[in-house]
Amino acid sequence: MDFTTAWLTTNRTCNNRCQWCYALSTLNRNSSMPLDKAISLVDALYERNVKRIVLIGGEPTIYSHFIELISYIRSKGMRVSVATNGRRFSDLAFTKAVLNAGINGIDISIKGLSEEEYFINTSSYGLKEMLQGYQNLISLGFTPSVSYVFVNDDSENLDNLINFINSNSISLFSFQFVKPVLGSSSNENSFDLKDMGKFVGEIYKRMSKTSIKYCIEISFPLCLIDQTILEKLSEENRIINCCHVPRGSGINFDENFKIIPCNHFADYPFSDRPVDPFTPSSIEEIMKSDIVTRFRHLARSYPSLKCQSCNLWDQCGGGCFTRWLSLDPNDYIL
Amino acid sequence: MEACLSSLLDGYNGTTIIAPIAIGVRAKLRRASQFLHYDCHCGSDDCTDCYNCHCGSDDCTDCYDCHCSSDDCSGDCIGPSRL
Repeated sequence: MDFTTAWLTTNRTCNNRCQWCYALSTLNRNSSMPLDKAISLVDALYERNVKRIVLIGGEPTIYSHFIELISYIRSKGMRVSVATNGRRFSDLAFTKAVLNAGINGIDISIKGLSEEEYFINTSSYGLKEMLQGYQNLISLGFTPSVSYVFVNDDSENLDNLINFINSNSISLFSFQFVKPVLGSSSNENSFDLKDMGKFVGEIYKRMSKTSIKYCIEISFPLCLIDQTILEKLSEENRIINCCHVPRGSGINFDENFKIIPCNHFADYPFSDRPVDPFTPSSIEEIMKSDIVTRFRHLARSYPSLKCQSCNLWDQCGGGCFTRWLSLDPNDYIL
Repeated sequence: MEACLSSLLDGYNGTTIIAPIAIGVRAKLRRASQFLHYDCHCGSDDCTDCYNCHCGSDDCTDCYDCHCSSDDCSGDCIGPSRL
């Protein structure tokens, strides 16, 4: 199997507790990758011709070996990016060190538009730090992308978000929609997929009145979006929907070096047996197991029979696979 | 834990009919940003001067295969994304 991108969960520790976090149930592990093992894993991935590594968590920037690991990945000629809440970048010296280490991409996720909202969503007051972090990166000549996850049908908050983007001069922005937290019944589907489709229309309508550069990550079937809106968004290159899972082009490791199907399966590794980073063949052994074969078969299947004859399939792919572990696609796909 | 994943997959509600791998859609928003510079298997190791990967996706984030079967941008291209 050829993997081109690898996600490394450096640590299951975080300075936030986001209500919608896919890894929330794992943060009590308080565990992280030992640096020597992380480096060996990078070596193993390099040997497999992996081109890009994404550091995820938890919150990767509080991983105690964050900068060393970035430097090592870059020394191998591989690309490295990070998904972060951005708070640690409020430390200018830290930010300079990360950029000097050669990081290629930073995506900052906004957790709230006011300190009060940030606290409600994360149990932390982190907005000021996040904004300072963004400004520090900009001041050093690095433009991070910024994203926001809609967890419910909150069209009133959309105007506030647009004002927030404008007032903070955020230049690269992506709207995202909440995905199921696997194994949790409390927040699954709080935002109905059909409403997500309609909400995309609201985003388009309101963003059309601005000059903000934005895109929308669509993680549900494209047929739930009004066709006219979809065509306009496509013409303007506003849509992102591209998942490595059906292609099998990515590989994800948790902080204990267990392989997980994707980030959203944080507590569901393919095997209880971790990869031995000093024995790269152990990756192969797990990836050849029956559970991986089964997962890949399902992830590559049509959600609904209706998808078989849909002319959007090539671009759509049926949405995020995790949705169909709790929802019936036939209730949604048109 | 493997049993847990297996149980989770038992809840899958879709079909088991293998589908063609969707090529997906990629916004061109990040053109000229520092966010995603990949080599696209074309030798440049830097997308700043093209970003189009000859396929219209403009973003190699997750696949690196340029949304085509060749896995090589030197030819055998399916052209721009069709959405």
